[in-house]
Amino acid sequence: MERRKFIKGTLACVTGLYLGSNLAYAETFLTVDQARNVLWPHETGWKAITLDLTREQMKSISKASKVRVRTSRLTAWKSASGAWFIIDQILGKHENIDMAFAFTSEGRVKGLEVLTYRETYGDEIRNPKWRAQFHGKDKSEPLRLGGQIRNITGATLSCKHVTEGVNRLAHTWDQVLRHL
Amino acid sequence: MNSNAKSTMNSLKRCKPALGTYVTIALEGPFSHASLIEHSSAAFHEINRIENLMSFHNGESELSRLNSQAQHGPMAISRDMATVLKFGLLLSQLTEGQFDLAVAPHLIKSGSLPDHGMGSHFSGTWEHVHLNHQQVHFSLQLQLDLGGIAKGYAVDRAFSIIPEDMNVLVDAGGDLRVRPWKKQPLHVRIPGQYETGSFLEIPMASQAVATSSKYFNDGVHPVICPQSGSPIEDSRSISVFAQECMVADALTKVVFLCSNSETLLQRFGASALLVERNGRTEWKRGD
Repeated sequence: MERRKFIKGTLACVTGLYLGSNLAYAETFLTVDQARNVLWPHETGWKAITLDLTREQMKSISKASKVRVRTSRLTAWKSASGAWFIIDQILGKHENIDMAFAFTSEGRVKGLEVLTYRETYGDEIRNPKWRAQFHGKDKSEPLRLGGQIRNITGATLSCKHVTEGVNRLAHTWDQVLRHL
Repeated sequence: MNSNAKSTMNSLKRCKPALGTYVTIALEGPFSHASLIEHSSAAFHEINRIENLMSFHNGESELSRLNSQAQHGPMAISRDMATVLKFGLLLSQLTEGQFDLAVAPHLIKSGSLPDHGMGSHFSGTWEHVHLNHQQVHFSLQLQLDLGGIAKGYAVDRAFSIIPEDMNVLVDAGGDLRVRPWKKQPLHVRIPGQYETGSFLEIPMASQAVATSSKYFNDGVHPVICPQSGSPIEDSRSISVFAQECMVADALTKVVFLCSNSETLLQRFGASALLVERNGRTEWKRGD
């Protein structure tokens, strides 16, 4: 890749994303496999574990973590030595952010990576049809609107929901995953 | 991952929550993916290290130790803390206190910062901070907050550990530094138009840029006037371009607070772009 193309890919806002005066984008970072390799470079023997939390489990985790459990489905992997890798979503300013969480075999947070960051602006936020395109996508097919990273100065977004997400998953590990 | 393709251009882009926002690091160069991962991990590690030193929220940080103990006698501080304090105090001196790192009590009172059980009744200012190489002493009880300067410093530190033959972008929620930077476009939000997503496209004017505005702060301006202790009333956004992100970060506050900011911009080889709610722009340059 040429140097110029790289910077275009990292600094440029894609004018094609403008829809009237509105703008939306999704920015993808690591894939699920890349994130797992980055967070757990030495772990092997990964086993995929997809489970649905019961209503009681969701209630109990919410109570313990003081964070609402929004979905019952949990997508996780466990390594041969008991390390955990979980893909989950947390709320950004308007849309969900896909994140990877690494937990040790003792349930401690090892690291985090943002996989896909989405944001919408303007009228489309209130338009369910517009919003629908952001949801229900297969993880292997990340949403691309122009496929370019866009850097905007001054966009200091709070990441307070990350802490809530970590807290919720730590209690999910404690109450459910550790017994698997 | 391919670990021995030294001659092939590869790129990697990662994002992690840090410094109270989302930090993106993008790398590219004739390096293996493993090497890009290693360098980006080292850069994130450096950002976490600076955050652990300079966070006001973290009661165990070096800054919190200073705030609770430096009035009792000289304290040894890290080289990083000395660098940031030295620059902050220089700006306080040059602005005659219009830029002051000792604004934390005002932010504690407004609920923006935790009080760590120490209350908010501190009257010391930058003039009571005595820095001597890597030792600091407060001659009056005070509380420093590095929120207006440390994020830029963290970006600089992360940037500095990336090899020079690697293209790099470090972006901490809009405080960013990029290489190469010439002729690259930057997008600046137009204040008050977040919901319509309106931006201005301008070329990068230097390697680093930082922006201050109230549009992401629930309508309350993040810049506090040290004299009144209140958030300033200014609907404009100010982006400062400088060689270092720490300088850009701190100077955004100086441009908001000082009427003679041109002199300071000149001193630090910086320039500032002011954007009004109607999209009108004004450049302030040192030259």
